[in-house]
Amino acid sequence: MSVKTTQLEIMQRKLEQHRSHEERGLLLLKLGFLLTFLLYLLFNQHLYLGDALSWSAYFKDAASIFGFAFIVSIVVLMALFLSWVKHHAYLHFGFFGSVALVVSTVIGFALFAEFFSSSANQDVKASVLLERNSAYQATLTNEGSSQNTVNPSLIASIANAEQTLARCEANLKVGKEKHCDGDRAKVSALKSSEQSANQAQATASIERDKLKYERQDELKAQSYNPVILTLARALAGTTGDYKDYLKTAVVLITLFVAVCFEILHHFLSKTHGVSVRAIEDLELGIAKYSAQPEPVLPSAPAHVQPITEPNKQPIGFGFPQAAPSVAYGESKPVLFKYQAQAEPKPALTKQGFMGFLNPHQTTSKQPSPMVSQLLSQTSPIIKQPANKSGTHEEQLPLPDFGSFKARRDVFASPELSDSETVLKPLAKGDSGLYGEWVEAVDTKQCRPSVEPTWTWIQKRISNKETGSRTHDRTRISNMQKAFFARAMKEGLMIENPNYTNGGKKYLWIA
Amino acid sequence: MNHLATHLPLLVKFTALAAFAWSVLKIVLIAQTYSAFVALVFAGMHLPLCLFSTLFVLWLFDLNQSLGFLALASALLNAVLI
Repeated sequence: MSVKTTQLEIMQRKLEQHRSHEERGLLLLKLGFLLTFLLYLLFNQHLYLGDALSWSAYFKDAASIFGFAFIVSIVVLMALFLSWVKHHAYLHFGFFGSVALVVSTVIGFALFAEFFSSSANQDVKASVLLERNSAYQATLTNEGSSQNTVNPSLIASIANAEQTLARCEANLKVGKEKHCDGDRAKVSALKSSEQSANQAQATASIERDKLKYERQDELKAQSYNPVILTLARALAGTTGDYKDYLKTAVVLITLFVAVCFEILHHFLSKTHGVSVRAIEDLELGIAKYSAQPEPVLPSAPAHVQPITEPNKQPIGFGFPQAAPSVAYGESKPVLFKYQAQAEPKPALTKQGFMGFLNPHQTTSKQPSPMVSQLLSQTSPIIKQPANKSGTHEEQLPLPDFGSFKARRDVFASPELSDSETVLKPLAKGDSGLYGEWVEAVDTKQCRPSVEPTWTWIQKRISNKETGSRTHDRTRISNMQKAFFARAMKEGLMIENPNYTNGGKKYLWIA
Repeated sequence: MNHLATHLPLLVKFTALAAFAWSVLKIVLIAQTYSAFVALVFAGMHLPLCLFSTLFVLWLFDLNQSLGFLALASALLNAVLI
């Protein structure tokens, strides 16, 4: 089996894996959209229509029914719109990055709606369980027993004593009795005992009601989910009453669930974008590689990573690779926007471990053209100059990050457009643009102050600003500051000691 | 170590699947004990969220383990909240 066939098979296999992954991701995204719609629907239902148990009031007459139907349509349409906006925003995030305001608005509102509806659902479940709780129903049916009951024998005794006292007072008026003090004392004693009995009964009734309500509260609390009860007890600690923390526990748990859902949903949007990019890159790679002639490889270099090695990460983000790991043919290496073309390296010595040169390798052999081609297309780390034996460590070349311009405004297009090509290359040896600037100042083409220098730099590195999201302005300002700092360090300019507002801040002394 | 690398994903996926199966079983038992409407109320959004998290674990745990564990926690929590 030829290398090309194997390579194409591997790429096809990877492409199939990415496609199946993309299909599952899209399915999950659709499920997430459906869940979001249901969550928004519940939220709007609670917000605009209230509890479903109270909807019977809407069906009294035709006008009420019409109003109810109108509100229901608003609720459904609003939930559909909001969930669609969120779905679209998540798809957009996957391709074009996210805007903080949109993220906070979409995700924040979704979070609020989710934990609002979920916490309301927990309360409804608790009330459903409570209605079916016989112990709780028993506390409700014993309402009559709490009413005050009067002792009938005591009432009869008081009535008899008052009757006797009345007779005695009548006899006292006609002189048949000397006094009625005994009967009066008896009536007074009976009334006093009646009052005491009533007070005791009232106290007992209050205590009974208190116990009953406590029992009802306990049963209400117990009707919540055990997870919520556990969290409420943990929040209350050893001294507090866990019943006071039930609502807090419900909010915290539902918020955690909502946050989990949002994180997973957002991750799906990211993987969707990465998967699509990976599929496109693989398809492009397969097309390019299929059109190339069969490469002749004498033997695989030892330091080239095997293509079939899975690049998995143990823990953390492991997005699918966007760039296919294929052995390209003759092609121009991709440079950053302002990166200069690398100087051709003379020859290659055999590599030691981790970029160190092998000190035992005393003679250098000229590698074959194929190996040179392969090595020139791989990382610059493996491009080493020849005849370095005797040195223990090799300084590895680093890309010119100072001239790197991040491209966040264009999706999946590493090539620069024609309008973005620079007028002059930046890297020109040791002096570079700085040397040109010094010459310009010396020849009076540029004044050594901030704004003229800023404009001078801008004209040379960016013929036009490419939008508010680019780094051009900050970058130009940084370059201007760096130029001034270097010029002062080299003694070409100094800060004006007599500087006042409106005057020259720097003086060119060269 | 190699055993852990091969068995841990299987264990996590099995746990997520068991959580979803348990939540379905709970809903069925609630429907039998009370009624279908009560079972619908109890399922609420937790059953679909449990399904979502379970599918996430089954399909994407190998891609991103940290979020896979988060999805597992979500699946378990939604299962016990039913």
